[in-house]
Amino acid sequence: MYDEIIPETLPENVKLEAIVLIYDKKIVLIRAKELDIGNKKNYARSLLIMIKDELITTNYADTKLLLSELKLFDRGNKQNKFTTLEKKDGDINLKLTLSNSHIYISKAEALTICGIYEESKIGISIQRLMVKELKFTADSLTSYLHESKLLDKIGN
Amino acid sequence: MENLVFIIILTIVILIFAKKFFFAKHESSIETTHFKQHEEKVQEEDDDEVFYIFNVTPIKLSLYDSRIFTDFYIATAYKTIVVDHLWRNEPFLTNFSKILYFIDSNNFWIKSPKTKSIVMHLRGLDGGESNSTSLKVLSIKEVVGHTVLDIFKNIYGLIEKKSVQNTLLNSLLFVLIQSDNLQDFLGDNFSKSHDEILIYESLISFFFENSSEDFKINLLKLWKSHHSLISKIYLQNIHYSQEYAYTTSQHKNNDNVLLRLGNMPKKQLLSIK
Repeated sequence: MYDEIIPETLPENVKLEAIVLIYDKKIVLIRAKELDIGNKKNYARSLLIMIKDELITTNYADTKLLLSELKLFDRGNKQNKFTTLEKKDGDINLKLTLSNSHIYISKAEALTICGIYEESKIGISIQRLMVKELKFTADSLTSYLHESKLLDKIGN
Repeated sequence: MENLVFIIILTIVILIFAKKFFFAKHESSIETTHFKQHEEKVQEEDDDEVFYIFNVTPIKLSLYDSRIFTDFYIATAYKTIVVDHLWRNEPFLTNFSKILYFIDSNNFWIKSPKTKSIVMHLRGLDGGESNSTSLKVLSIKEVVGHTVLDIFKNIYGLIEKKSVQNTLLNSLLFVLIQSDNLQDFLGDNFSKSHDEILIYESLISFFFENSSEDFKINLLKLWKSHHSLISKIYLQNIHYSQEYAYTTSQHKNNDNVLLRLGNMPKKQLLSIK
């Protein structure tokens, strides 16, 4: 694996897939899946998290960081990048700020997100996630979103 | 007996006269046709020998060349409206070509009605963050070409020529107002106002600076009366236009929108086939 040269051109057979984590709050895991025609195997090339039409993480490290914050939940501290702890009427919630709005994540939801994230790695090889993670630029990510039809508005 | 012979002779004489009288006309007509045919033959022989000289030098008219428009749809609209119908009366031709050239040389886009806009938080290798939005857009050039042609086909021949021409100018401005990055061109004063009439008036003062007041008032009257027709045809057209993926960055790129009216080529003498 390590002797492979990272290609400069963008791979063509990469498709973005949406895996829903929480329906009500529109939290979606986006998996960049590469189909290798040579050995008929699926490889994960990147994992991103989208909340309400906003990709808050666009590389694997950020995704992992967000999930760690959710895993720790109320044991996190002020150094948290994405979430802040908030107490309201005796309940403890994680506040996640978006560019125009914010959402609250409860403990059960955090548990669900972490659970489905682990299960999303079943049946797909994550070797290439570490070796040659797909680095996105604004234009390349837009073209991938367009090709995978994630920019289409469903319904009204 | 004598009487009977007399009657027979009389009838024979009458028959001979009658034959002469009835068939004389027919014989004469045959004779004339023969004569005419002969005459025509002589004339045909004469035609082959005569040569008429026609004026074959092409007629030249002063028009804008349709090759100044790089976009196919805009060039087609210009050709069918101006060149095919020879609509070269002066205030219309310059104004129409000026607005078409402005749209053609700048990259205006319209947000597609069937798109989500996804905000992306991207990180560079140095860790710096930048926000950009990805969405699907329509090219305004394609929409303008289709809309102007459809409106022309709808109202051509139904109302006066001048009203048709002013409605076409209005339809160009209408599509231009729908553009989502027109505010980069207009400046910050119009970034907050979404009032259609305000933007319309500012565009009129930009394009028709030297025109008379009556012309502007006429335009505004037609804007109000034909607004529903224009918007209906516009909405039909944007549903069947090609969609392109597009990225808008956080920092405004004013370089993309260039005012290139000063470079507009002048009229040329062109031969019309």
